[in-house]
Order: sequence, then structure tokens, then C-alpha cells
Amino acid sequence: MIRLIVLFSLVSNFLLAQTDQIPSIKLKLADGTNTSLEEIHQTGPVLIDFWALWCAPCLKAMRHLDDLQEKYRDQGLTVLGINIDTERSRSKVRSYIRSKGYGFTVALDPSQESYRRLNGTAMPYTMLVDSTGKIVYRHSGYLPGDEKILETEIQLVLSSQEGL
Amino acid sequence: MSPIIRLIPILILVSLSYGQKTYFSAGLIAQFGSGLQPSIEIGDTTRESYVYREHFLDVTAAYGNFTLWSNFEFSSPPRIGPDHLGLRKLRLTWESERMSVNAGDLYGQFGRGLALNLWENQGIDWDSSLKGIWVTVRPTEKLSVDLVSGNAAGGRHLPIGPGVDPRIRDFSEDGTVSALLLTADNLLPNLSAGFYGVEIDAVNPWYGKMQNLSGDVESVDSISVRTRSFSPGLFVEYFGSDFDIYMEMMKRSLEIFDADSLYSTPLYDWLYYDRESSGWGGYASVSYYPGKLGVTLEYKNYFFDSSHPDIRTKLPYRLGRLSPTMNGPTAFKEHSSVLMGRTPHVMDFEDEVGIQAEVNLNVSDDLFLIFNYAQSSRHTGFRDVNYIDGYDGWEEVGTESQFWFSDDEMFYPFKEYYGEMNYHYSPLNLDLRLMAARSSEMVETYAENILELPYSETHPLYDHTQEQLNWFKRDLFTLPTQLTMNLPSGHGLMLYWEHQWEDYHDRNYLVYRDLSTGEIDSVTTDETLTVPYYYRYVALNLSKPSRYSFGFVYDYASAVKTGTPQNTDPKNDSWLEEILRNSGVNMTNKWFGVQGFLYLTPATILSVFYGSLQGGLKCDSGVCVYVPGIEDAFTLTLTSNF
Repeated sequence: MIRLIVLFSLVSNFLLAQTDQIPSIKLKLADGTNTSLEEIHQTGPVLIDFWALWCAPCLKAMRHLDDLQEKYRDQGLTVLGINIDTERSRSKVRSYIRSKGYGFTVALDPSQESYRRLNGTAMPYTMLVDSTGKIVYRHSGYLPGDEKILETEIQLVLSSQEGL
Repeated sequence: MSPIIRLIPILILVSLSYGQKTYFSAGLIAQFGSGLQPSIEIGDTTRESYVYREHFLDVTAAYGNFTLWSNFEFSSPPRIGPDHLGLRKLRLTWESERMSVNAGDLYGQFGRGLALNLWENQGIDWDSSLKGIWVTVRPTEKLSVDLVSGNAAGGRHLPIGPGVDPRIRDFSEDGTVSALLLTADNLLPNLSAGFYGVEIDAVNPWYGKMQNLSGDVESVDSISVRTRSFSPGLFVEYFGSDFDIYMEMMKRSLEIFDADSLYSTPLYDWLYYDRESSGWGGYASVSYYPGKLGVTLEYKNYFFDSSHPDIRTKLPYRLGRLSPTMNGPTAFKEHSSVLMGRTPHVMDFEDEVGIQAEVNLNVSDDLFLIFNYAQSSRHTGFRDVNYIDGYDGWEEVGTESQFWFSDDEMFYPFKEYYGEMNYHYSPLNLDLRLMAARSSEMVETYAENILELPYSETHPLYDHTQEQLNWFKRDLFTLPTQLTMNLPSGHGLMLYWEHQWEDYHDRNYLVYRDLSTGEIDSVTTDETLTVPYYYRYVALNLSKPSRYSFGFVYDYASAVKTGTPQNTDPKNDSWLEEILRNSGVNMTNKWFGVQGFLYLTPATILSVFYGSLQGGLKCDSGVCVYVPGIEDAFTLTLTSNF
């Protein structure tokens, strides 16, 4: 009987809990400061993009991510580029971002811990998280034109946020 | 205790956990391939049946402060590496504001990884993760303490043969790693520093000569030996407003754990080694990024082992060799181009000093330039010396400075120039990427000194010393081009077009000196350019954003290094090759394929390939492996996140 009650409690707990919430992963930003995913999404929706300097499609997509950051910054969107370059090119990341003049937030994850925990399988890996911390959109890879689809998803999240 | 009382704490726990954030996600990579694998032995034209099934499932479940990550593998056999069926990785993490605990399979690094770098790349069958526990405590905002303890087990032994450079890292270790890291953040404004110590108590395969009772060598075999190493190190990092500096130094001392008992074993004549070995490594980088310019300078200096050529080629498990859990920065450019990716600089983590400079210049919003220069060499070279009394042995020759690279052929110099132009044309969302790279690398060097040539009627200089230097150098020039653009129909076009020229120079340099005066009597230099190779790679794809992509790949080599031309026999043609041959295409040394992928959901991609792929080296962070080619193949890959 006790086992049944415990099992029922756990199942109901899982069903009633806030599922599909992004876990709170600790991050080190490119400027050396520490933060967490939880802290970042508290200010509004977050577009997470995993990228690396060796990934040519990732670099192509970044121009568009920067445009999206500029366009929707005032509506609370944070674009977070998590760089997963290992030691082989970690030193070049800041230099690349700064010379490109990108204005979105960049975090460094050389051990690829966040990519692993969010189960990335193909690069670039993009996730859109709404202001409640729920993952509403995932996308793998980049093809020319994908940025338009991504923008539509962002607009949907922002409009649903306004309706709250 | 009554059931009700036992139930109370459980109900309290359950009620407390209501409203906790939960997260569940999974990632799937499923690969299947069926085709033929060509032999890489010179002159061998056989092709073996080659079928692989390699599937990974990553599952993450998070609940409150806990995260459970697991990785299942069902591979029998995988593309490369050993079979595995079932749970492969498992880790439980608990995190709070001031503390985190990871138990299970661990990844991560101290500093830039010189003494501890736990990472994995399934594509090259490399895994240096630990099974153990990693605790991080932050008693104050400025101080953090990391404690790591675990076991690293596994290995990959590379045979000596075509495609397998003796400098490619292999590994085999069953070691217990214990490590401590103290990090002080913002010790001074923007300045952080760390100090660490890493101890590895390991069992390594160890080669010895097997002797019979009369003392003659019967065979060469290996047994295991316990070794212990300790690596203290420190790093300093400074973040300025438009520049940053990083420096790390570490030392490694290594000893045979039970040397006395091993050396007293009568049946083993231990080869070459001392009971102790020590080495050191250093890495530094400086980046300066004022405005649209970004400059990064990197310096590496790894000097852990300088074994002579016999040990390097015959005894890969030498004492001073780095543990697989150590992997410092490579400090040269690892390319994403297909052809350059197949012909990388093969780094020697045990003995290499070098620099890398990279300049990024954002000329305008639409034009971006990258220049890269890398140069390196070993610290030591070896000369095979034949002494007058008949003794024959290796003599170590050092560079002029232990802190700088050398151009001298004896020290395996490597040099590469690289330039890249990225142009963006907004109306068409067109990205044009033009690259050019020129590199030269010493592949093999042999130096010999004969201190007195024996009497010979046919050799007029028999009473002279003979100095010989023979080297084999590779020059590469590569021109990769990549173009992507949006078509008016809403489709996207991707074109990759790469050319590569590869030359090998075989040079022999002979000097005869008079034995009594030491003066040079004769100098002979022979240089031979062996068969030059030319490669071409083309890939064309048409795509619809987030829907599908399809296209073809074409790969060509002017000659194949096994010496046997590929695709000459029409009887071995696949249907694709048959169509092309019947259309008048000369199929010799050409590999064709058609490929496509379909987005089943935005995060689920089904990829299909039919045709042939050329084999070659595949590297990550200086670790390389030969991935065999596959011909007349059908491959299917499914990647998904849910």
C-alpha cells in the first residue's frame, strides 16, 4: 500500500511539476564573469545558440543572430551564444567576437558540459526559451533562410509574453 | 515503526518537491552504413564488406538541484572503435549557489588542460573522461576549490602502417587520477589565478625483451607496469577592456612504482628507460582587440619526453608519454575544410615548441579577413652514431634554445600560412568564403654519423667520417572555396569547391670529413621530388530552409598513395558509377556520391548518402585517427532532439 501511495505521489508530482523547464546550468561569460541560464532567462526570453569557430554554418548563422538581438533587445530578448571550442581555439574566441562587433552575450564552455546536458546532436544547435524558462523551439543545423523561421518563432514568444 | 509513521517523511519530501522545476530531454544519433572498405596496404586491391551500426542516445533528467545525464550506445560495430551495447555514461549532478557535486562520468579541465583535460569525441574514438567524483566549492565569491578523483580506463593501439603516422597519439591507461585546483577569481581587478596538483597512479602496458634461459632474445612482448606521476602547475588570467592575457606552467614527474621488483626480474631486459622521468609544459596567449581588429598570439612549449626514434616507433608506451587525461592547446589552426582536414599537422604533445598568430580584421559589415601563421618544431633531434669501436647508438642533439622553435630539418619543423576572406552580399544573403593555405612539414628525418669509414677498395674516402642527413618533407597548398546564397525561389544554394596540391621532397645530404684534419672533402646533395599529388573536392547542395537539402559530392585524387588506382574496373561499379561511366566520365581515382537530408522536425534530421567516400585522417585538438574510406555505400543517419 505504501509503495502504491509513494508511486502515485511521485507520478502526480512529475505531472504537476513545471516540466520542460531549462535546467539551471552555470556559465562563464566571455568577459570572465560567472552567471547561470536561470539568471539570464529571468529577464525575458532567451535564444541559446551553441557554436564553435570550426563550425562554418555556425559562423554564417551568427550574423543573423546578432541582427535578431539588435531588433528584439528592447522587447527583452537575450541572444546567448555558447561557444564550445576546446582548448585548441579558446584564445581566439574573444578576439573573433570583438572584431566582428557582435553585441549578443557570449559564454565559454570548453568542456561542452552545457551542450551535453541539453543533448545537442548537430551544430549549430539553437533553443528558444520563453520567459518562464520553458523550451519552446529547438533547431539543429543551419541552412540559408533558417533565420526567417527563427524570427517567426521569436515573434510568437514575444507576442505570447505581451499577452500575459 | 508503523506504516503511517514511515510514510510521513516520504510525504513531506514529495510535498516539498511539488512545484520544483523538472526537465527531461534526449538526443539521438543513429547511423547505419553498408558498403565496401578498400585496403590501405600498398598494392592491395581487395575490398572487404563493411557494415556499421552506431547509435547513441543521450538522456538528461533534471529535478530541482539534481541532474541525471546518461548516454547509451548500441554499436556493433561502430564506424571506428570498439563495439558497445548498453549504458555507456552516467552522471548525477547536484548544484547549489556555493557548491556542485558531479558523480559518475566526468568531463572538464583545469586551466587550459595541460595537466587535466577530460574530453570526448566519438568521431575519432577518443575518450579521456574519468569515472569518479568532482566537487566544486565556492566558500567566498573570489575563491573556488575543485577536488577530483576518479579512474580513467581504456585504450587505442594504432598499428604502424599507411595512414598511421607514428606521431599520432594512441593511449592505453588504467589510472586513478586525484586532483586539486584552487582558483582565486578577481585576485586583483580582472586578474584571476589558479594553482593545481594532479596525481595519476596508473597501470601501463610496458614492453620488454623476452629472453630464453641462455639470454638470447626470443620475442618482444609486453607486460603491465605501475607508474605514478605528479603534475603541479599554475595559471594566471587577466581580462582587460580590449585585451586579455593567459599563462600556464606545469611540471610532471613520473616514476615506475615498483621498479626494484621489475628490474630484478631475470627474464626481462628492460629497454632504455630510467626509473624516473620528468618534463614540463607551458602555454601563453595574448589577445588584443581594439575595434574591428582582433589579434591573438599563442605560444606553446611542451617538453615531456624526447625519446629517440627506436623508442618512438617501436615502444609507444614510453615512460615520459603524457597520460590521455592531459591535452594542452595545440596552437596551430585546425581546419574545417575537407581537404585540409585530411592533411593536418600531426602534433607531438610530448615534444613540441611553437607559436601561432591570428589576425581578424572586420574591414566592413560585409568583408571580414582572417590571417593565421603557425610555426613549430621539436626540441630534440637524434643522430645515429657509429663509433670507431663498433658501438652504435643514438646521440641526442638539442635546439639552440629550449624556448623557441627551430628551422633545422633535424627538429621536424612545421610552418603554415593561412588567409581567409569572407564576403557577405545582403540582398541575396550570399556568403563567399575564399581560403588559401600553404604549409610545409617534416614527415621523417634520419641523421647518421659514421666516425670512421672502414677500409673499402671501392670507396676513396674510407679514412673519413661520414655525416648523412636524410629527410622527407611535405609541402601543401590548398585553395578551398565556399559559397552559400538564397535563391529568389526561397531555396538556398551551397557550393564547396576545394583544390589541393601535395608534394613530397626526399633529400639526402652527405658530407665526408678528413679524419685527421676535420676538413670537408666532399659534399653531395640529392633532392628528389616524389610523385606530386593533386586533389579536388566539390559538393553542391540545393536546400529549402528547415525542410530539406540534396546534392552531390565529388572527390578526386591524381594518384592514390597505396599505388593502386581506384575505380578502374567497371565490374566493381555501383549503379551511380555505372551511369557516370556510361556517360563518358573517366572514373579513375574519382569518388562520387549523392546525398540529401530531410528535416522531419526542426530538430530531427534524416540524412541519406549513396556513393563512395575517400578515407583519411580525422583530427580534433591534435588527436588524430585514420577513418577508412567506404565505397559503393549506402549510409543513413538520424539525429534528433526531443
